[in-house]
Amino acid sequence: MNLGNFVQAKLQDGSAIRLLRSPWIYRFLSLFLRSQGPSVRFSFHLARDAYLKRKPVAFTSLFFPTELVYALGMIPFPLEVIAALISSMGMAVPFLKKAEEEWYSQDLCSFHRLGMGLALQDHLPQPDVVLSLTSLCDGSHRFFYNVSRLFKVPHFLIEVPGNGGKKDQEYIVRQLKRTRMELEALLERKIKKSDWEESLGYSNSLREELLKIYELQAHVPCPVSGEAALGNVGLIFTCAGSRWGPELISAWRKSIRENASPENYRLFWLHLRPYYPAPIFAFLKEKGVSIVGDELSNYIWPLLDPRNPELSLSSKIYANFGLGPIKNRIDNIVRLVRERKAQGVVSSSHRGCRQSTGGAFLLKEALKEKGIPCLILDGDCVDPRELNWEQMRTRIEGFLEIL
Amino acid sequence: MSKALWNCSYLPLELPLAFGFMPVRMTGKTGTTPRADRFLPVNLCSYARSFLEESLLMKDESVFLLADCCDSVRRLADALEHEFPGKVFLLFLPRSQDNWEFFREELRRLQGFLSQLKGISLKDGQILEATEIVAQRRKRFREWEALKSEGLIRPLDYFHALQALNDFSRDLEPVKVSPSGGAKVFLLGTNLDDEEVWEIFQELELRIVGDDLCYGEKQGEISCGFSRGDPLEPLALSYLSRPPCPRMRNLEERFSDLLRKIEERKVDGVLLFPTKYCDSFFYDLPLLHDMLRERGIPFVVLEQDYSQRPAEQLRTRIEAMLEKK
Repeated sequence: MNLGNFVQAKLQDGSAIRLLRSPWIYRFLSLFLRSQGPSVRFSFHLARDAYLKRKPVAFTSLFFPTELVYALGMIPFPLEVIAALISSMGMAVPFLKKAEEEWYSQDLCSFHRLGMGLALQDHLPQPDVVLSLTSLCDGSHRFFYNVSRLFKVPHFLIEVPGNGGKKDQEYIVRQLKRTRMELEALLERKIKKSDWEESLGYSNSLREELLKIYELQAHVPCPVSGEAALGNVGLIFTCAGSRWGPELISAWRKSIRENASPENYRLFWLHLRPYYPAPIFAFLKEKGVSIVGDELSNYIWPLLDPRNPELSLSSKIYANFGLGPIKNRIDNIVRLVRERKAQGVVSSSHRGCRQSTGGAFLLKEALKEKGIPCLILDGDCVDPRELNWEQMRTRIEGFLEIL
Repeated sequence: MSKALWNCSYLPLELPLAFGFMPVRMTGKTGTTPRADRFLPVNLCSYARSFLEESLLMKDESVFLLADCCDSVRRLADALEHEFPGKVFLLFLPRSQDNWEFFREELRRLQGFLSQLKGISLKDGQILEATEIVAQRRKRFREWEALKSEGLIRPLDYFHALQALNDFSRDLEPVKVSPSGGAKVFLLGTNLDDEEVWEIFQELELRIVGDDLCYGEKQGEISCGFSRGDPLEPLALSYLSRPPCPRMRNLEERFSDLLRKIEERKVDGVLLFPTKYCDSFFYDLPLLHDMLRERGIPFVVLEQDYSQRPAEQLRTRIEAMLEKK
């Protein structure tokens, strides 16, 4: 039995969870921690704090402003990011199947289905609260509600209207304030001015580091790995507001080699990537393709002002590229494609995603009118059963030929 | 009179009516969607795809009033706006009545849109007049509801009554009372527009004693009060306080309300009709499954896909469920 099979077997029979809930495993692992990079150290701290309940735990949706979570002294446990992590370890299928056995349809988003499978098999820490946003997708609201029901904890939801006017922003600010006050009462802990300064300060530093990476992405040839950028999406949104944020992104920037390999094609990526082991990025590299940016890791928000935290966080929420009519998303893509000198766009069409995949045809037509070719790659980011590699490879080859 | 085509029963029809539009619910049509396929992929709600197909076939001047109830509808709105620029309104719908004030302001935005489209402003009392018309229709519908919950209306008659209720170009004719001794069933689902399905119900002599369809029984439960002040206030409050659908927040209320109705009406079984790719309803399914199984209430899940004709299998599966009783 190889290590992967061993770990998979332990995850499936639940014994791995017993390990994550034991203080001894963290004492043992901490012996090796100093020599590890910040992403491993961050994951260690996150798992330890959540499974040992060192701090109150909040299950969070991807775009929930974690600055609020850190300011409250909580630990965010981002279920969609955890789902991507489990998938990247090649362990998605048993958990997806568990959710399907419990009536979660195979048509639902696999990030959420996998998260539900983990919850149903008692592989997650016990949360104190569940926090989610309605952006970017509707499935997210119901997924997080069902999770909160399973764990019998309160669910706080921030609704995000899509028009982006002053009235809509005030609506978000009101909800953020109400949520903050209810959480303060629940946790018996008031957020102090210094908590906001620290949390929003770290978020601003993370933002600065991200902007430096964006500059590098515009270089020809591009020195930033697109695969790594897509892999860091979860970290960007989980660390915002903690000391780990600037440290992680700064380490990522420093790891980027200035002398990039020559490139044949420059492409911009839409939505997320397949997280399970798949040959796609090795194949793109072989063809000399640089992914010079993607919608999610290029999500940038205005500077946050600790004197007006909820208004600042509402601006961060509103900076989301996918809100409102699809025209907003198209404008954002066109701007980034031009900035990065990309020759075309790859739209990763995640099977269970209505918000992104749902607009793919409209988007492709609009990009075509602007002279930007677009390839729609059907598949799934988490569920490896949906991968048809031969078909995907043929489509990529065909697309590169037209470029 | 121009039509105002709508998609969701949270959309207050009083407003388009006050502006002289004829509110008509766009029903789902079974069949292929070659025109819609250009805009919307197959993994999007089949009702949204059917809505677009029907819209692209239309020749008359209509406006599209959509409640922003899901991602599929947002993409439908994008496609409609592409083809009918300036004729589409997407109304943001809060998920709980706590946020009724925001909804009131959204209704004001809708009023502004309709006013600009028609080039008129409403006079005092016009919304109240429209509210009275809608209230009268709902009152009539509630009378049928009482008969329906006793199992005295045949499935096809109820289906036609629902179609008429949601289409203001049609009068509400009296329904025929036809006592039957068939099995009593409760319908759970989003929309069920295929007449062929209701024919199967009729052939099986089912008695539809209750439903939770988007545009069914819940519509009769909207009770709009009157206000001397802002007429949009009672509209916002009454629509958001009707029995919630799977998209909304007060879901505990939804489940207890459903269970009460199902138990009170002593049903022989529950038919669940999720529309293909309706995420909100599919997240309800595991919870409904547990709720019904724990109480020993027979049920069957029959996915509704407008791209396919209802199969003969539907009849067999309903019969099999009823045999379990």
